[in-house]
Amino acid sequence: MAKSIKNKRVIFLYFVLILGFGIIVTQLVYNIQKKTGGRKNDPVVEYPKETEKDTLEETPGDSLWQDTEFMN
Amino acid sequence: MEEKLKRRPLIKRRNPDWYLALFALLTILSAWWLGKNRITDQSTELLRNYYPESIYKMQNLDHSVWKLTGEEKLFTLSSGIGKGYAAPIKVLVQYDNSHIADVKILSSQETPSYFSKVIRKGYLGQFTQKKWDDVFNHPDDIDVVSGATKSCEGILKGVQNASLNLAKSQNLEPVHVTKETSWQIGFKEGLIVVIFLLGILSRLPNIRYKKYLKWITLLLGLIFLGVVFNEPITLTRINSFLLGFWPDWHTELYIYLLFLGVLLILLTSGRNVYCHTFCPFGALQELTGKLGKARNVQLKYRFFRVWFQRSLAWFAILLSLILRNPGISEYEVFGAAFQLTGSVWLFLLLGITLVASFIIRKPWCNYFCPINPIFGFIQLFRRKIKSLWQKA
Repeated sequence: MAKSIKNKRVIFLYFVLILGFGIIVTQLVYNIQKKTGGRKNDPVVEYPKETEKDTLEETPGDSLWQDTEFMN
Repeated sequence: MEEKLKRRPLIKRRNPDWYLALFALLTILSAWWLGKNRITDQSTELLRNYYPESIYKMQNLDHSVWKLTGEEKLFTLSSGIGKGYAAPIKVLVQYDNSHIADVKILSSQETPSYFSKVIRKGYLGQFTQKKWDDVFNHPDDIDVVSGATKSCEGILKGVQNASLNLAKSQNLEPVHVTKETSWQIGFKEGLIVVIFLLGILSRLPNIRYKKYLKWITLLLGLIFLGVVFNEPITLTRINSFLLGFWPDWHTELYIYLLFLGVLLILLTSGRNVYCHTFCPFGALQELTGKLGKARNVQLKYRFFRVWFQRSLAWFAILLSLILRNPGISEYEVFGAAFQLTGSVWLFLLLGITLVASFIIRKPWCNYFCPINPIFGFIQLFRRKIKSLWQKA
């Protein structure tokens, strides 16, 4: 009976050690991320995405310059 | 069979502890050297991140003062340094005419969980709209974030020094900043001396009521070093000493008393008076252990019994020295236990160790705490040097 309780304690301790080790590693990663991740970068300029209509290929009769002084 | 045993040559098994301790010492020295050489001042880069060249035009007036033109306005920037809990904190102050418009952090090596608390509580926002030559102090003008007093003091000092730098570069009348060069000896220092005396007394042979003396020192440690002041010996403090970020001995004399007292007893008598006599978290585990009738558990594998804890401490010190950041490798649960400050992981670890301490005797001290192996490391070197001395 006493041996069985002792074994349970040992198994419990191994469980605590492995779980604790996992948490400590996570905590260290968290610390490093906090240290390096808090830096602000240059503002990111978001340009509108190109759609099919924005294509540079000219469609006959649909030129931007048609009927303008430039074309004439 | 007996003959076979007799003929077998005697193999003298050497204790690997000494060689591994030497290896640990060499790697720690190498990490210190590596960290010192790889460190670069990233303040300018960070400054450019805060104020991008595409928007702001910056002119350097002094090594720490800049004129900033942008958003159709003219600002002045000045940086200053103040001593925090673990290391100096460098702040950047933006002035709009004579008022502080913004305070930003350029560099800090404080314990992340404490420092993020300072930022989260909006401590930096309290400086805005104050005049550059205002005299502001804690707690009358600026509220301190409880549990992170030292970090707040570091930032405040940094802002004051930024204003001083600005005044110096612009030939203005300097701001009146109180310089704390006088000794500050008070309750904390007295308490440390009393605890030490009681601790030494409780470990002397032939002393009556030893058990009661030990419990008195444990409770004093728990109440004052833990709950009231939250000043136990931590890995961050040890890393700070190793990295050369020493606290001001005028204002933080108790730290020196604590460290030097523990070291002196360790080197003269070889006894670790701190962990067994007045460590606040050790005292808390003694209490929970008493309540739960906790027992010592002997593990079969030497790795878990000895090397697990030592490896954790060794790795944490290496990490801190390589990155030259005392607080980066902190994984202790003291802040979570006594100040309710820490990440969710630290609270989880605290919960597990406290639950375990009802069943197993002092699981934190015996398997996780980095302080015990550090003192053990010093004890090992002391023993080795002593034995070499005696042989000679």
